Amino acid sequence: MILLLAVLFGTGAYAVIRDGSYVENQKRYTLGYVGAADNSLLRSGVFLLENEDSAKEMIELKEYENEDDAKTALRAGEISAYVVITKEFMGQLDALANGEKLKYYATSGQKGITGVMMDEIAAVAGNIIVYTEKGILSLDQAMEERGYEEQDRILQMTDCFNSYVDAILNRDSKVEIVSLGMSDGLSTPAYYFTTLMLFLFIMIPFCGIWFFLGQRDAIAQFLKAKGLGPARQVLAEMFAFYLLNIFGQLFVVILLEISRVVLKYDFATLLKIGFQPYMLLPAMTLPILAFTAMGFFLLDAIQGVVNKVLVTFIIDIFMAYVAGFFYPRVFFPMEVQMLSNLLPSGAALTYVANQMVGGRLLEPAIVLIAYTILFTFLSIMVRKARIKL
Amino acid sequence: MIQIKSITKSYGKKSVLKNLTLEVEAGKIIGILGENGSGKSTLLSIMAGLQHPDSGYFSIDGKDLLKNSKLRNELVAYVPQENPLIQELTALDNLRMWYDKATLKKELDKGVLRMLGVSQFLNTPVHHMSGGMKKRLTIACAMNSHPKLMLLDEPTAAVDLVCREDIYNYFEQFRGQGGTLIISTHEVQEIELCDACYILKDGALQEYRYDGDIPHLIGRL
Repeated sequence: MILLLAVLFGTGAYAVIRDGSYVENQKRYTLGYVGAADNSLLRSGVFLLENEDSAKEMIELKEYENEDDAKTALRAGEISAYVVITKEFMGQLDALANGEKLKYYATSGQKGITGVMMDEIAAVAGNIIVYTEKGILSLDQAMEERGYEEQDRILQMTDCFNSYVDAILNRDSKVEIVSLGMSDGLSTPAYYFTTLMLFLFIMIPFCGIWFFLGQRDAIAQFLKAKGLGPARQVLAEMFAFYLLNIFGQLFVVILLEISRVVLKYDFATLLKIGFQPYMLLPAMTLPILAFTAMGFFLLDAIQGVVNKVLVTFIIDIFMAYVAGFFYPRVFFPMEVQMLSNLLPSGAALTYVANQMVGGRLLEPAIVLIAYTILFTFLSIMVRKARIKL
Repeated sequence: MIQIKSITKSYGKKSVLKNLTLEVEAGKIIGILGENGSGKSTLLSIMAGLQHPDSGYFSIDGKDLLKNSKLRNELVAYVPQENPLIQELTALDNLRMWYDKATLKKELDKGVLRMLGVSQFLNTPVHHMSGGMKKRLTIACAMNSHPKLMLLDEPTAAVDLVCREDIYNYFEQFRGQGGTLIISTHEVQEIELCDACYILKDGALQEYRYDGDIPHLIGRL
């Protein structure tokens, strides 16, 4: 069972960062646009966006002849959103003053990462494709009304356009951009790789549930009568249980190392941190210890197979969710984030993430050690009560 | 000589054992009778070291075993009512937890393990064993330290007649070697095996001479 789970999660982790479509998908959102075909400046803007600007890493632009086609594509999921650039918007000098708005359509119901990404994309598209061109078109119309010849107007507009394009294309060098990553300072692949690993290790105690089935008070009593008290019993059993979990960790690490060495898969580049699979061994030691102690306590203290499975599963899922294993915790309210840091799962994520990015380890380590001691102590208390008839 | 003096034990406000006193000479089999919840298991668990009495004294040959747990673990063997064996392991693997290799071989050849007939099912996993085999194996595990006193909590409950006979034979052999047995029981066969019987009632022991009159015995409980 442990092998099965380890293979499942190992493969999942591998797939998350190895899959080419993921790499492709993670940087490119398809954005449709309608209505720029008959304007050369707008076409230039689109060209820049597609080929020269750094936004090209995120956006793939797709032109549609009319809005119905764009709408159909949106409904079919071929594009994430589309922008309609109306003739009124392009042709009128007073468009800016009138507050003429760009029409922007996107699929609904997607908040969070995708929603944030789409807002960013819309902002980029709005700034580069529309407002740039609007300014230039406004200049053209203003010069025409003041009686400038077409040759002069084109010269001025070209200068203006080139200056603007230059500023846009070099904007990255004009500001200091510090990437905090999606959560805990990790890149998106590294974050989900870490949470997937932690979710595996918080679930692995389930693989050892047979360890707690068919347990009899008589065994604990017999051992006590032989001189093995509750503390020694619990520590010995917990050590065996810990080895079981370490075995699962080793298996995953071996799987990932094989992919690194044999398949030449470059983890460090894809996770965007100087991290290699073998580093999971020291990085996960404390989290696995805390998860082992917690799993041992829950599975040992709760009576009945169904109760053991149900209660432990619900607690594990709750802890995993609040800690941000399924969804980055930066999107949670501050109170939930604070609670997360106090839970074994949340402290484990902080601990592993900080090892990867070189952050502080003391606080999460203290939380993990405290939980290990607490759950061990509680397990000893449960055993003590069980020994007494 | 086994001495139990003024043992007292309460669970909250409920007093289970009240100044309980008992003296047993070596080489005797003593039966403790009583209704369920009368305190038989509590008495055995105190002697086995599973819990502490509120007050009292328990010794073998003058050695205070309540204060010397290491000595108690050596001198007292406790056989609980349920089997305390690891179900997935074979008889041999269970024995290996308690016997070193050399002792195990010696005991299988001519010691306690031979007497209990454990060698017949050495490679059988516990979950494939009969109730009698499990009980014999449990006794075998309990006897690893060559104790002087064996405490048994309803030892032949759910054990077939043939195995009972084997177990009783072993009790006789153990007694013959100077060992003492204290058995908590409801079984008439075991009562007949005892040199003396006591009824545990209202937290105190009363000696009872069983003469085959079961209705009288029931009336006393």
